[in-house]
Amino acid sequence: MLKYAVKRLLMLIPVLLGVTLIIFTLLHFTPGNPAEMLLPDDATEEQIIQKEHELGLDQPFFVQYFNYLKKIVTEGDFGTSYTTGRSVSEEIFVRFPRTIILASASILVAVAMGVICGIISATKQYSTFDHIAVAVSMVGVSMPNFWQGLVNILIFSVWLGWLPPSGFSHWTCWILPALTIGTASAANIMRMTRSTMLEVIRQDYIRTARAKGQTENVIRFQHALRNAMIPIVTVIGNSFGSMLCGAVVTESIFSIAGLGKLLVDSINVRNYPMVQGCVLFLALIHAVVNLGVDLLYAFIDPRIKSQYGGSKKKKALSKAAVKEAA
Amino acid sequence: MQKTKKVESNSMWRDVWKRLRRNKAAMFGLALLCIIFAGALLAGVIGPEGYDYQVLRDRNMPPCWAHPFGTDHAGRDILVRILYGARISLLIGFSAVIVSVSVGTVIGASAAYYGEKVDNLLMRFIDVWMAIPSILLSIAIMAAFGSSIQNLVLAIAIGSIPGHARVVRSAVLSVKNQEYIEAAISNGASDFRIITRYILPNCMAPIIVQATMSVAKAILSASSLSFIGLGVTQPIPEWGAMLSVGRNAIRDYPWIITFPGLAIMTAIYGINLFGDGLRDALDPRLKH
Amino acid sequence: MTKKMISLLLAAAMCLSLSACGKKGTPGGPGDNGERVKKETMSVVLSSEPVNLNPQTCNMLNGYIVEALVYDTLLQVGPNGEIQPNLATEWEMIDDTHIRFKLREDAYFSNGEQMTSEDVVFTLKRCTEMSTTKSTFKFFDGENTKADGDFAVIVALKQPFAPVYSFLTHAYSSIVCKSYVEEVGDEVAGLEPVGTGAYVVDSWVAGSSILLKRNDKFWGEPGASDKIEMKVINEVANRAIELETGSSDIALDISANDGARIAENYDLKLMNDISYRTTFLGLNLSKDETANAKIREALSCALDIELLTDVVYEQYGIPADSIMSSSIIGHSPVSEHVYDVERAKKLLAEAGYPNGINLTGRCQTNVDFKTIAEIIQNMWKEAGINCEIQVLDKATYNELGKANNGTNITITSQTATTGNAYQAIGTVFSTASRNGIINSSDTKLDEMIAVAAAEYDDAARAKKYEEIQDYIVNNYYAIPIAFTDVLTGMRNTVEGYVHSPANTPDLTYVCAYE
Repeated sequence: MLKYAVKRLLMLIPVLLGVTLIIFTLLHFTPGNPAEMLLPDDATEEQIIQKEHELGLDQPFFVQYFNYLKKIVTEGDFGTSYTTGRSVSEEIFVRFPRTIILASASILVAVAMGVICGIISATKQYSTFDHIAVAVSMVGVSMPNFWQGLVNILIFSVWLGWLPPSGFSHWTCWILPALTIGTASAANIMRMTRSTMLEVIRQDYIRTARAKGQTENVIRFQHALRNAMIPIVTVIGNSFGSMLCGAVVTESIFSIAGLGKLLVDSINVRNYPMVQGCVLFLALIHAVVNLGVDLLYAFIDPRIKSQYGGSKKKKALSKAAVKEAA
Repeated sequence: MQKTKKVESNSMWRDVWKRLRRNKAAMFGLALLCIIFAGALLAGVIGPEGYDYQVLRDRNMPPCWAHPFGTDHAGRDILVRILYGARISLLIGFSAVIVSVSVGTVIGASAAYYGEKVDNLLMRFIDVWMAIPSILLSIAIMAAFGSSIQNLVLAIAIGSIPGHARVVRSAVLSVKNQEYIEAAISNGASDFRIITRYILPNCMAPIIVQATMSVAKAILSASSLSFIGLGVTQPIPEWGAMLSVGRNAIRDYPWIITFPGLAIMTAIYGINLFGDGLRDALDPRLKH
Repeated sequence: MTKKMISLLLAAAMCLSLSACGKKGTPGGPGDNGERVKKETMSVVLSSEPVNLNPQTCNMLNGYIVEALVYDTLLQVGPNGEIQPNLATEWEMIDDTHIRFKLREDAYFSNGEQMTSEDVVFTLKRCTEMSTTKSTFKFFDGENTKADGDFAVIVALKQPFAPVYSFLTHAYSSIVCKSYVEEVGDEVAGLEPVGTGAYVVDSWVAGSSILLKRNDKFWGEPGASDKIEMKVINEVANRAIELETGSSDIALDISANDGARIAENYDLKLMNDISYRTTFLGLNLSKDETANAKIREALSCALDIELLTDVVYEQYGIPADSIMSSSIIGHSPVSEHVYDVERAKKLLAEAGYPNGINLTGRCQTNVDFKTIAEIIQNMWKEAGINCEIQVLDKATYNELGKANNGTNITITSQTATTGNAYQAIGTVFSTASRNGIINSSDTKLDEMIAVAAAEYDDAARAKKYEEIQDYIVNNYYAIPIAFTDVLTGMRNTVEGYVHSPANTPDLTYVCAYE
């Protein structure tokens, strides 16, 4: 198990190298001169050349890329933000907690709504609740995040005046964005919960449990839910990963100074080191979350835990590192 | 042999259609899609002056008989703009999916068919690709190449290629060792012929389902990118861009953001319902 | 089940709203006897976050607002645009290029050090050297600016330069502490600024807010609020909502439609007055089509500027009659704009384009500019002018301004941050300008601008600026569109706020009551 985790962690290295190269190349060839962006509109050619030199932009492409990597590896330094002059890693770490809090609050909303509705839907299949829940969940999946955010602001901040429309200083500020990000995932989780529960409920061992005279609740939560947990956890884990990145748009609607907003703002001023840092960091977190989800399988399902011993089967489990047995 | 396969596949599609027709939700989705398609086609009839026709004194009008969805800040009819916007969204959605499915199929099929080293190499590449969340990749691409419809299609397509490659690869792997493939190989058919004639037609089902769902995702991504100012630019009536402009007036003229949002939702809702139904119809085993 | 859930949700929401109200209902002191209680912290909403608070590296209006609280400049602009003493108490011209400033002796930096001539010389020298400020201070002679004892400075100029006093009110020339900046470096000095101002930075939460607290060692009258919280909210609609929900006391940069509503709200008031900004269309003289004066005139004739201004700025903007805002000393109404589509068509035909013309344009992603772009495209279409205007982020916009000599049209605006005519005309019309807006090669205009800047006599200078404005507008180098208002929304309980045409209000003596 430990060996597996270490191996998966090592797999991250080539992935991150590739990510840096792709992003670095893409952004290097974007139009716009960062040196010029930092200067007032009436800056002279000489001022621009001076600034370019200050930023190391006068070096050839591969030298710039190599310097960038070298600094990350040797000093853990992602460079300096062109706009603020602060260290990129520092800026990211200041903002990251907000994104994490937001994603956690959203996942809480999503799980609470999704799993509960999913279970009710599954146990009362074809009831009115089920029909409504299925229909509503489909709407939830189809609603664009940013639009829902705007509608939420309109209803809860403007018309009802219950919740603040922006900021992050107080926990009441978290509710609207969490609701906005959470509902789409809630719909996904609900659909997944419902279908796996339905599948599990049909299994023989549930029938056996029923035959033994166990109460419905014991069956539902002890037997059915536990076995249905694995795909649900996967969906939740993946949702969490995508929430971290999906917050990009939502954060800017609610003016939350998280990673996503930092990224969008940085792109607009061509703050290369910041964009690279953010994307790299988000990719890293994404990969770590995926790894965590994979490891969590084993924890929840004893059947899988035993499989980690075998070298062939474990590969079939890991998603990112799939290596098909030839 | 080729002939018998064709007959088989024809009857398979007939079965699928039969099953699909019984699925009310899927038919509802299809109906919504048809309405949007019809709207896109009729845009020129309903708004013959074009999407950029302004009557400056009639700006920010609430929904009324003359303008069922109201007008925006420049006095343009929102309904007309949404209909023209349907063209843009559908165009972007379908072209992005066509591009990503084609490239994804080439990568996925070659990985699965050649196996071993090719597979290893391509899949490692795909892993790296996939590690960058698609929205981030699209943002970076749009930032690099600038806003235009072509770039938007490209940005969205590139982000979803790895997903398609994975699906195609696993689908191809599942049919690769079937007897009829071996027969074709022993007949001396070329690799290209084997893949395109025998393998791909037999793993269409998952590819089609994935592609359908991708259209919805592509429309959503396009509008998200336009919303943050990286997609198509004014005055082209992309739905996300319309929302982005309207959000400043969210308090006073809520209809400016209401209708484009509803349009996006309807399109995606329709595609999702239809895609769900299609999946069930194509793979009856999954249907409870 | 569903009903239960709904009622639960509703209950939860009620609790939330109650708790939110409850918090606001508990003031910090006694308020029952009709006495108003001053809020300990005044909350101000900015539209963007200052990149840093280093006066010589930060070039953002919102940075200037915070810097004005933390630092002091040698001089300041009075309510009627006149120059007033600040850190400098009196000054005299030694000759055309040397001015002696006497400094106050009771100013201390927030780190305890006394402000001396050494700091002033250091600051002004930095202004002429740092990449951000260099071009603005190009007429200042940093090398020869010298201390004259501990509390006097002789500022040297490279050539006679009338706007010198205005430039010394600019946030760029805020006096920094020499020993501190040299010790900690620019980066730290920009994050933990040390100045002589009425406030000091207490904490700075990157991306969301800056908290300032009153500087007890301030040399002047102490600031009105104990603390000032500067919140950063980029979304224009959210800034207004923030005000209306009572979460903030002052919100800067309000949009026109929010402004109207704030003005009607009994709890709020709207401060709006003319700004130093002019919105205009730059016509590129180095492009074939717009090099032709007839076409430039046609472009102007085909625009209904009155309607355009009304649509874009509603009641918060007036059609511009010059390239320089009417709030700036030296403005004169020179434009003789007539809206006449037929004349535009005739001019086009005379210029050799009887069947219409295709032009290119660009603007930045600014809501107002986008709307202007949409509308002028339509207006021009009627005269047979087909102009494709690209809305671009700043980087691509700059790039497009350079490629192929730029675009025919640029929608842009110019703000004279110090309210000086020299800054209002700006460098856009200079032959040295490379931003692709005008791409002028007109050395006569250069000469006119230089002569006006060197003229110390007010009346003679005003005459020269009138000629310049007339020359630019009636040669159609630019089509002036609007003089716009600065809109600031605030709660009724805010007192002491003074409108700032530069949109950099001085918040030192502003406070909010419960």
